[in-house]
Amino acid sequence: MTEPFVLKQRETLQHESEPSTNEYYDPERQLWIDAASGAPLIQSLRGRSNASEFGETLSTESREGADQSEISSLVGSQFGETTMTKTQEGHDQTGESALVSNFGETVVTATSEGADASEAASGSAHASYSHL
Amino acid sequence: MQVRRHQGRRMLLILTSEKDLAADFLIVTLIERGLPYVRLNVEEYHRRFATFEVSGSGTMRTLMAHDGTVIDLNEIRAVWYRRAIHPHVDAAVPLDQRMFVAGEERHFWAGLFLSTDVRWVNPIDKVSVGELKLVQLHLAQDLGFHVPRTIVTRNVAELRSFIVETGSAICKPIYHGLLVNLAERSSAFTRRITLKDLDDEAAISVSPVLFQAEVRRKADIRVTVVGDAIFAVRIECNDEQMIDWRKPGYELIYSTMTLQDDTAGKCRRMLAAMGLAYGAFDFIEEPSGRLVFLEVNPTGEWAWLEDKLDLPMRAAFIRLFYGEHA
Repeated sequence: MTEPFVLKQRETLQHESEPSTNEYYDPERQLWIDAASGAPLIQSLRGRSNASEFGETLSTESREGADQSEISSLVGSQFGETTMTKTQEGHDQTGESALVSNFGETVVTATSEGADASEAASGSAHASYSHL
Repeated sequence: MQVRRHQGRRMLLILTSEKDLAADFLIVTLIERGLPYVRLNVEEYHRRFATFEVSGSGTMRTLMAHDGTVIDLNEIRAVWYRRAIHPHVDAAVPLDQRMFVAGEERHFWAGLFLSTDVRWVNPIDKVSVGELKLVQLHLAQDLGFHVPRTIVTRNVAELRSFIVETGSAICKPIYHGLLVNLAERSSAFTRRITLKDLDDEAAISVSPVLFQAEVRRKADIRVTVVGDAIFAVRIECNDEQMIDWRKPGYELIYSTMTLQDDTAGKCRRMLAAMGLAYGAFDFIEEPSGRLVFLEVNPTGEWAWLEDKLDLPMRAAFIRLFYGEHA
């Protein structure tokens, strides 16, 4: 296996903390609440020097990857984890391209279910990274 | 069925993820001002009930709220597109059918929202193209920005020549530097490179790389455009070796600044050319004061700058979403 050049010298990041019992997501107001004060967590963090670990890791600052609509949506998502798990388990790109190639050859002469959709025809393994 | 009404098309739809505190930051103000909104997180699409129906009398779009009431999505005035629509899949679905169901979910939700004629900040398709770094660099140069000499290739000979000719070069990801998997969570930040780094030709052959001539830096500049409003911030660091201010650990000093030489105009023209109403631009300020374009991000973060410098960014977003008289 060959590690891509751009990933060399990459730096380990801290894992993002999960919310504690002091924080919960309020589906009615649709934001995070600080349980102790009952106020929105974001307000609570701003007025407190000892901000919660959860709040700090969810900082609103510009971070690598966090600025991209696709990446911040996929990372941590169940779907994204499934995709990454598959990679971990050895479903590498070569295998997926072979699958895609077979699919393409099978449907190339006729309009078949799925073949007319750009993402399906280009390989479902990559569809998760494509915009609509 | 109890339907929530907001006296016409006044509602903001926020498409994001659950842990997006910048969305919280804006919502706090929306609540204070009594402005209607609905937030949908990528983590919850697969649990929410929504309906789309076309009939002779028109198109109906509804979403069930957590309290059981029904929200009329035809009342949406604007969409704040923060996170891509990648719905999760119900765990009851067999593993080998999840990709299929994910496609069904995604096309349902995206179709539901995109079939409305409302303002998107920013439009999905424009974000998709706008996030392409090569497109940005080409357009920025065309519009008259100073752009660092850049090469993107997997041809090692050309990369060697590039380093020799520029004297000092940096490497950065073409898309983003975040690597998250079961084993690690890491980031490839912008870094300096030398000819010796190119000895590993195999590493270059497996994925194209982006090199840029290193720009001498006095400070970094973040220019955030929110509709008609523009906010320019200087970001300084006392570490002279710093080449990527987003890397954790640096002590950064923020201050507001006034843009010179039609930089604001160029930013606006670039966003207009890209079909975007919002963009977060990154520049390097050289010792001469000249600004060098690095990139523009259609969904870039902004809330921390309002927090640090008391900039009226939320007010600008509210004008953009709800109009001047919100």
